[in-house]
Amino acid sequence: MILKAERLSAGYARIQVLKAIDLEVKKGEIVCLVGANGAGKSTLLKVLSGVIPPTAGAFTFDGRDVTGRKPNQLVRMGLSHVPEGRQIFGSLTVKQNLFLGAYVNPAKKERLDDLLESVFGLFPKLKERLAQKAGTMSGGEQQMLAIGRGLMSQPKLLLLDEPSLGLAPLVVEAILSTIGELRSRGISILLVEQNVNAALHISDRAYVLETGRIVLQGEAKDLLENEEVKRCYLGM
Amino acid sequence: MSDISHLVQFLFSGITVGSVYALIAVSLVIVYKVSQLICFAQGEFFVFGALTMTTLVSKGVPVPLAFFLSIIIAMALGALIQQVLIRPMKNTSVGALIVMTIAISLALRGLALLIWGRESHVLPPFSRGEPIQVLGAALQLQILWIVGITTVVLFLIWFFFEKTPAGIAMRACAENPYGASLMGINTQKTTLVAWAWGSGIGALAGMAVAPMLFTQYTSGIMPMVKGFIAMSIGGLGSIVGSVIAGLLLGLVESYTIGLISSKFSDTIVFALLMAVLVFRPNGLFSRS
Ligand SMILES: Nc1ncnc2c1ncn2[C@@H]1O[C@H](COP(=O)(O)OP(=O)(O)OP(=O)(O)O)[C@@H](O)[C@H]1O
Ligand SMILES: [Mg+2]
Repeated sequence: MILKAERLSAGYARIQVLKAIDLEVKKGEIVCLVGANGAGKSTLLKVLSGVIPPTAGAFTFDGRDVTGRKPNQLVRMGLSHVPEGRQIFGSLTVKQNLFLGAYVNPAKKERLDDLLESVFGLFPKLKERLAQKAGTMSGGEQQMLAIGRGLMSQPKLLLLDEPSLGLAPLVVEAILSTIGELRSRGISILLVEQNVNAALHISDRAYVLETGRIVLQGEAKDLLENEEVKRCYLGM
Repeated sequence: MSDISHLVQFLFSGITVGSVYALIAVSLVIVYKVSQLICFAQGEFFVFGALTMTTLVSKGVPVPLAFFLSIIIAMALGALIQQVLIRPMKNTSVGALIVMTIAISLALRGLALLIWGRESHVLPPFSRGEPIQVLGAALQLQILWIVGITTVVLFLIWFFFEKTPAGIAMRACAENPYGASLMGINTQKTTLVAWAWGSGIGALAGMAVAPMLFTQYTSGIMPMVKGFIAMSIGGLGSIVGSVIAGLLLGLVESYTIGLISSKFSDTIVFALLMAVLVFRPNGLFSRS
């Protein structure tokens, strides 16, 4: 088990968003988190990466209780969060963005170069753009950068929040197939994705979140057949 | 003196004053970038730097040691202020924070009055020696120190922000604190370091010109205003812009005083600021 959340609750100021969430990601799994706008998907990822402290409940990462840890501790342990809206550093170059991904694990120069090469293996485009200011890249390239930057910390678990938002269908396909490739590199993935159909096809299991509660969970291929999922999230 | 020697003399004083404005502007920019805040207490660091060093030297501390001690004291003071007074206000409005920095400025000025009194203090020049004659104008050795220190500091800042992981992390923090925290960058620590840098550079400006000025507890007010003007002309967040604007301001002032009258120098500087704000609201050197 790489991640296990038990009765996790959280929110902002006075609003409670998440209500007693139970969720697991096993080693080497891609788990998809499905839910309507405002259901609390991004909030859950923020709790898991230590950005927001939970108000109740607990979660373990790689077998250790990490409730209340800060993002810098969690990144160091191998939990990387590629946030909604990419949050890349537009005024910095692509290379600087990537190096910041490895900020918490200061590696030797050669090791950094190896890491860069492995990111280029997934996103060859980034290699040509190393010296470019990240803010001047296209949306698709920026998303590749955001994922690549998240990989520079050598995560065991990657939290991906809507990696295909606003991208053209072909790019979406490329990004999703890359996510499938990450699993074969031994990285477990918790994926939030609006393209539910495509996401379920690359996922092992999935959870459906409705107004802060898990209302449905199961094997991805079973959820693809589920009548309610079909109606609400697959538009069938 | 010939006309040429006058013009050269004004050039020297313009570069001297301009370097000071540039340093203060840079110290403001560094704090502004990470905290989105103009710290109005920056002029007081100028005074604390100058007066701490003056006191240390008068007590017999060797000049190089006094120099580094004064910078370190100012950096610690800046970090302390950020930690104790600014950090707890992180969820308040920028307006409240600006009022806070003004309050800090007044408090530090009061503290300087308590420690050093109302008298003016002069620091001996960093090195002894006759001024160098250049085209009939006198170039005081301290001016070489000022220009040298400014150059070194600007180079270090450039190196820090372009080449070191900590500097790049600081820029990331300034641009996008949320994104930076996800990289595991400790945004609070980074902010603290930025304030320490800002305070140290402000102090350095005061120390470098202390041998050429009569420094007293209120001496930080005008340099702060001019540094702020340089920062605005340079485009608020731009280090390069601020440096150029600071030097420009120093030269404009110096030539106005020399060729027209000292009565007009501030008027012209403020007119310049207003013109820039009206015609180039993003700064003289912004691309947009
Ligand atoms: N910073 C915030 N402050 C206050 N409320 C917030 C904040 N961020 C999110 N919320 C609220 O929390 C709820 C859940 O938001 P969240 O971003 O987690 O939804 P989501 O499932 O990711 O939606 P989407 O699919 O639109 O990204 C929403 O009602 C939202 O308005
Ligand atoms: Mg979201």
